[in-house]
Amino acid sequence: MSGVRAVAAWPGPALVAGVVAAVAAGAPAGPVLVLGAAVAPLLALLQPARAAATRHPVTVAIAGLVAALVLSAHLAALADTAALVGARRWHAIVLAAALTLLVTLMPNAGRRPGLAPLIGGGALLLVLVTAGASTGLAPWGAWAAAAARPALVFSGRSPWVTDGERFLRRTTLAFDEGHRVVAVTPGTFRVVEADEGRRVVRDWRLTGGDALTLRPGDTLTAEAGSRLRFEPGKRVPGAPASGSAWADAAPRASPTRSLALLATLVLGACALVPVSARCTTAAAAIVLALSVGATSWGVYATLASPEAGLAGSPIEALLSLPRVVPPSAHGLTAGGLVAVVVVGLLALFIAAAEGLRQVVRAAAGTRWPEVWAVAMGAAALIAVISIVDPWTLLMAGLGLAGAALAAPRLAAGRGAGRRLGWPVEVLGALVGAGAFVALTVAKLPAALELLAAFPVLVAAPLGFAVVRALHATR
Amino acid sequence: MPSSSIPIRPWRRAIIRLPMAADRGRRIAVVVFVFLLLVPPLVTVLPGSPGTMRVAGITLLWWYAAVVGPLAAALGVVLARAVR
Repeated sequence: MSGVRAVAAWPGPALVAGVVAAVAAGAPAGPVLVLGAAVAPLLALLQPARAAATRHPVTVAIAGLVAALVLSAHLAALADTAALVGARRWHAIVLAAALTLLVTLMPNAGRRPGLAPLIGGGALLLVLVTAGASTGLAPWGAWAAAAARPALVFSGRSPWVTDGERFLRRTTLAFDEGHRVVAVTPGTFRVVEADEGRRVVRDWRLTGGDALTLRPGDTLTAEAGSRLRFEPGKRVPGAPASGSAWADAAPRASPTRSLALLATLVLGACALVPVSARCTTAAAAIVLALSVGATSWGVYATLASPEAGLAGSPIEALLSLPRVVPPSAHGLTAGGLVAVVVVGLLALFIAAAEGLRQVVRAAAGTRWPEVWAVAMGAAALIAVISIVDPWTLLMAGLGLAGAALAAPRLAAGRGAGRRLGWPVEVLGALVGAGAFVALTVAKLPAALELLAAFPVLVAAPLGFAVVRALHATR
Repeated sequence: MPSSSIPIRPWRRAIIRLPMAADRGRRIAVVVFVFLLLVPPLVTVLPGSPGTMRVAGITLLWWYAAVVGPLAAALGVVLARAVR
């Protein structure tokens, strides 16, 4: 198996958009996310060689569920892209799922495994270079310029100021200074006022053109689909206070949350990236391009439009860069560059889907060929009905993969035998998956919030321990 | 016809089975990779915040996370697989 095919399942649209958005927003976990996204698939390539995968209906079901969750994250990212360019979400989901199913089920589908990642990476690289050249700044120069800003404010050219933009998901904004927002379309908005220590909740029903005045300390909750217009020159709600605060947010990251995020990424990569890659140079080049490219993209995005992220989707940061490119940039218009980004994301989705199909195929063999089509259908359904953002779905998919596929497999090594008539690895997978689902749906106390956010921290060690314990009782 | 007229002296050699040597290289690479991943969380708890020092306008932590760490990992995986 080539290195390109080995890591093809990794940099899908949801992961790329999540990394770019974290850098653009100055998220404290940004550096850990960039490093983890780059190093985790390479670490997965170093997994010990093992015997053939245990073929069992339970393993097939878990692999199918993992594929459905990860695919739904990528489909949700494509749906957000469609919504931000004015198309319908479900149109994008159905079209992308149908096209990808067709491409991956075609005869000789895997003959050119490097084509889709090459198109996707090349398209995004073209936009990045064009946008970077239009600013006249190298990425490190853009970083220094972004870090030197006294405040992150709405520019007069921002679409949030000129025409108003739409919220893709229910979003709560915290205001640090007085602000007058205008509803572009009718909607209900909840304002929580901080009035001398008391919290007063007011629901406002606004029609198009109605204004709402917010004071420092107030929060505004906008429902999905509502549109608002902001004032130019005002601080972006929820953004870091200044460029310096944006640049220095990373050292304030919680070490435990950072470790939990790394555990999710590494174990998820161990489940999705196959071990038998021959040529690792291409794989190493891909993840290096992912780390440097996504970081540069995020830096240019925050310099050009610090409000990218208000809509409630990480895709907004990805699309904000081509949108601010001046029309004369190398003959490419902003609309043309947005189209290139859409093509690039679709190609990355096809590449990721082909990689996930290999994961399902490794679990199911040739006995259940319909599992892949069912996983794609389930992913499309999840993406249509889901109200959470693509990153949440991706973390759920990677966490489940780590707890129920990677941990039992690593514990079993070259085979752990059978107990109670079942393969020990399958018993470990059942325990890992059960613990992951239980922690995800349970209402844990605030002290255990970390486990609710990263259930893999408990589920993966449980799956691992069960396999080792049953193996030792032989 | 004589089988061979060239005297062959049996040298003492340490015999290391290739799979074992390759597995050792892989294990070392895994340890190095885990250390590479643990650097940012460790830096955040160190006194004096060394991660906030700036080089060419960018903090050391971001240089490490976006360039140095992934580059070291890329070289590491290529070397580890070359040993196999």
